Amino acid sequence: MSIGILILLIALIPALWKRSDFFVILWILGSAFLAYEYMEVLYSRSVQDFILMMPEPVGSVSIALNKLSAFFGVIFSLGLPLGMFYGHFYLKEHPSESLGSHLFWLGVMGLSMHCLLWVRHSLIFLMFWELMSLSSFFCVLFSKRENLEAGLNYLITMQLGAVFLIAGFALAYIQSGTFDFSGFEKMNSLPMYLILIGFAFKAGVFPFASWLPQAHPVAPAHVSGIMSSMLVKTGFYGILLIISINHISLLEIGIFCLVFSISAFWAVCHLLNERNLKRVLAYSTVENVGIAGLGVCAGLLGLQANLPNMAMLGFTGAFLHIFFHSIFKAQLFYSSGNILLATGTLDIDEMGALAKGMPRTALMTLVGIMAICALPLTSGFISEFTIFKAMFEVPDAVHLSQILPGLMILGVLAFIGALAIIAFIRIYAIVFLGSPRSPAAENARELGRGIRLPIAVLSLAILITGILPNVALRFVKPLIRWFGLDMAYFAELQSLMSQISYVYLILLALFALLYIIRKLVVKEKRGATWACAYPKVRPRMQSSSITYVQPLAYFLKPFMYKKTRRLKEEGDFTSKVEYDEQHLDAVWDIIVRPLSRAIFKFLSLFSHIHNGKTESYITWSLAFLVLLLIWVVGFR
Amino acid sequence: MLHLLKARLKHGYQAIPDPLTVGIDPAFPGLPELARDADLTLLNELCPTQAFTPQGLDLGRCIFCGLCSRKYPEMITFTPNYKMAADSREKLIMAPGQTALPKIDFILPRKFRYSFALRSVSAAGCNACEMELGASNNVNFDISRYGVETVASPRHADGLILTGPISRNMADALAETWQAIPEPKYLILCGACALSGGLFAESEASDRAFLKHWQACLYIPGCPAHPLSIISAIVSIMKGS
Amino acid sequence: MINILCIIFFPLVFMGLIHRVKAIMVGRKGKSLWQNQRDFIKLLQKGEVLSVNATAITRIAPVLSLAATLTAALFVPFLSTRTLLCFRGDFILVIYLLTLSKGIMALAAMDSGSSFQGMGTSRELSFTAFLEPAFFLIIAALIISVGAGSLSAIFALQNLVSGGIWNVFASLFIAIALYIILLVESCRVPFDDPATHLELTMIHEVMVLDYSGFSLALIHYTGALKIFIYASLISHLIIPAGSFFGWYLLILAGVYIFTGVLESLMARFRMNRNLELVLVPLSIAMLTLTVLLVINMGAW
Repeated sequence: MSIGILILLIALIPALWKRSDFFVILWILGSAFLAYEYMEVLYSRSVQDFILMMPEPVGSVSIALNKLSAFFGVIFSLGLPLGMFYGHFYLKEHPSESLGSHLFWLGVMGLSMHCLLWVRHSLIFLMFWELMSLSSFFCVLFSKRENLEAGLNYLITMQLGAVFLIAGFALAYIQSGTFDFSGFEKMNSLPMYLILIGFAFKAGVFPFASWLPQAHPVAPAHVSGIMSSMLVKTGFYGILLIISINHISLLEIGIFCLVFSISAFWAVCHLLNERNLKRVLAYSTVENVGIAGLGVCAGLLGLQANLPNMAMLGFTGAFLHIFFHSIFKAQLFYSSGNILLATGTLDIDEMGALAKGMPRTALMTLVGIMAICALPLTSGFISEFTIFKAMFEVPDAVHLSQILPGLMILGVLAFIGALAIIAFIRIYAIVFLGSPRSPAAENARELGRGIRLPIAVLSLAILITGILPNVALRFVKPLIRWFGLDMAYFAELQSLMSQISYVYLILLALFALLYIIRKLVVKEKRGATWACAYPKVRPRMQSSSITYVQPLAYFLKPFMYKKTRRLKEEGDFTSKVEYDEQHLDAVWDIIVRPLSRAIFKFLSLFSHIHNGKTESYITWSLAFLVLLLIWVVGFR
Repeated sequence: MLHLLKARLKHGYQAIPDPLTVGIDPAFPGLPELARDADLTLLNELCPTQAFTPQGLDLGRCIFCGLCSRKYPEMITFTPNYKMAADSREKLIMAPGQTALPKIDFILPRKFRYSFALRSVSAAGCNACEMELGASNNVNFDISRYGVETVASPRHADGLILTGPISRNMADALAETWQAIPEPKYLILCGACALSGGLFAESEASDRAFLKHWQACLYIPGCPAHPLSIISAIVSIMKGS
Repeated sequence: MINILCIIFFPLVFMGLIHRVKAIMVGRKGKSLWQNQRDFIKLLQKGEVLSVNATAITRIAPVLSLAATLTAALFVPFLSTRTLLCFRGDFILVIYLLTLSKGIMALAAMDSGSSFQGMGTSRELSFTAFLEPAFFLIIAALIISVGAGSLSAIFALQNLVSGGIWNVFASLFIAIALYIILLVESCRVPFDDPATHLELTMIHEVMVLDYSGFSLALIHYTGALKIFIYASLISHLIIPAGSFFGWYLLILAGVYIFTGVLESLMARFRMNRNLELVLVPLSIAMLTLTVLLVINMGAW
């Protein structure tokens, strides 16, 4: 077995004793070993495996790593220790009775994520999958009563997904006769769809993603960060597993395109209206998973249309996006944790001018925001560039039916990108810039160095992979080769990326030149913001989170679900009105909630059966027995 | 759209070829000329703003109403000379026998020779000067041909052109606008009200403390100041007269 | 090289052309052709006033915006087929560099905490939300028609005279779509009025309300450069590459003159109408794309 996993197991011990420092140190050590092993698998050996013999009906369990698992494994082994490190400092500020159990479940969650990648046996995979869901539920809960509703929502949604997975794996076993993943090649479409839906629950794909915006805001920042950047990726890992084994027809590719496009678009429309910082980031995770999924669709389209260039670019873009997203999403979640600690609130309408009190966090968050908007100089741009480039290869295809999905993805991706830019500029501007909207924002101060370190490390990673993209490309290369995609074009892509690096060099040189000139030439003075000399300028006169979106709402109104209520009106000439506006989640509040309410209403019709009297229960049982008798005897 | 083009063709070319040298209607009350033997005290009794000082007629207070020249045409006449600006308050006093104002010595730095942006502040006047200021931007007079433009934000401006007597309510707004202009900045006073308070000089609602702190670089008399006066004044500090 | 000369000298001079046209249309003497240059040089020498709320972003944004636009301009062909930088798929980088320049200016506009600037930023960004897919689909349409890879190659090959009748149609319509994109990006009538002095009706001008001196000069230059980039792309759609430089200048001037005439004859549309009009480049792009696909394909 792996030394790394052993060390991670040992790390659970200090967790139970509430020694989070040893916990973190052991995690870093274990992850380092694991990272080394994953890198080895990725670059040199093809598979590392051995077979574990378990009693029937489990049978022989093959423990093996292929390149796909190793790729995700590297992401996990780099991201999880950073998350634990951040959690150590975050939890110091949030002292809790249940620190020990929280750390324990954190450790179990991380461990199960790693173990998932090693097993290639359906039942054991399911076991670790359930363990991961359960442990993450406890992590989200963090022993707070108010987290219970969101946590339970998360747990039940995950179980629903697991139902699909179990059904799919069971059908696959029936059809292929083995539990091993190699049997999946013989699946037909029904188990494949079931398994894909099961993984889609975890990955956050429309319409199964409503758990994300509910679970993330309540969870502590390090848990949100780990979940968004890595837990969600396990779902994507599952999807990629199925895709790498099975053949996908053109119709199915079309369905994937549609689902991922709707998922990303739906997420962005919700994103634009949210006031809670972490909900915004949660919806953004759904959007980015949609973008990565569109990259996979582009790759599949390329394979189907016999365009090796497009296939290579699509898959590379998807892998890069997964890798980069886990970096910048984790960074943004940790920054939001810092903001929560500094101001005590996650409501952006209570913030403003945080850049004055927390300049370094503001700068690092700017890097994260630029990455999530896919602006140049950051890694977000590189992955979107690759996916866009894949789309532009599509005109070489022969059939119209192959070109149309590609062009549709192109338009959707560009539009979503533009909307995401608007949304995140809104977030950054309202939180960090302007003037403070509440005393909490005015008094926000920079936090300690320890809690800023993971954010700094991740920001550096964003900038390095953004300016020198070949570093990341070298990491993705073995995976592309394993997928059987064209390596000559990959070399072309690498040279393209180095050209982009030169362009960045020119950009930065121009910037430095102009900035130095400005520094030498300009004499600055400070004055009040120009507001037409209005004497009573108040911070609440700045743009708030709702007004910023108002011009867009002209178009997107059908997609922005708002419920408004006037709460109080007094007198004939109304002097005081209270007004409540809520933004609803399309799937959860419009489909699931009313449905469940209708079900409850229907079931309540039968409530008089549960009246607590033993006599009526005996009567019901008697009636049932009589009916049973009639049914059994009467049908002779 | 065609009707717009037709209207344009009918209008023809309406810009004045050279506003600096164009002639003006002889009835225009421009630069006043006092006779050498003019009785200043007598004229002062007539004057609504008591513009006649012992040294002569203070153009900063004169509202060009013409009462004095109608009663005593032998003592004072208003010539149609619209070039009436000066770069200090003292130079605006026309002594008896003086036929022209002294030359404007002040010139803006070289960078403003061809481009000068003004922010206009209307400080509680009757709005006639503002209308004339607006007229100097119109098709006929067109001060923009010299590179002068009116900007919306004081941050974009190089100078502040003040019209109106500055009431108490406008004092803070004026000071804030002035603070918002980046260095180097210049203050121009336009119209009798801005120069001296005009007819509102003794009002309790006026608050001219701003002008005690900040020195203006150009004084343009008139009530209201004629666009040609404004144009010739501003151009002379840009390019030198 | 000619490209660098074009980038440095032409943008502001051609902006002066718009003013001349507007002056002639109205009948006034108007600003001189060199007025924008003179304003630029004057602003470079002025000091600055920064808001008390302003952070480092206010200092960085105009510089970064200009650097990004200049870098993007290095990819754009100014009549010669060889640009300073060029690789396959560079148009993605170009449009994202322009987006970077706009995005960082939008951020900086919110920096001073003025209510005007928030309003202007949200309006401006909402307009451009629909332009990105339009631009990408336009490029896709051009790639289908021409088959080249990089920005300079595409625009070098596609023009009015290069193909059949459908090519004329495609070039013309794409030129119209690009022209509308030009109007929106550079904030000219009917999308935004650069001459309005009322903060409540400004869109782009209000974003720079708090800027002065050196930074303002850079911002004006960036705006002029953006118009120049789009105008250059439009001229390339009309004349073949490698033709006489005079024709190129003429068409370029024609774009600016047309803009001036448009500004004199129209008022800015209502905001809601503008939001609807911003969809026009997208629809033109999709229409052209469909036509080109049907022409070049044939089989389902």
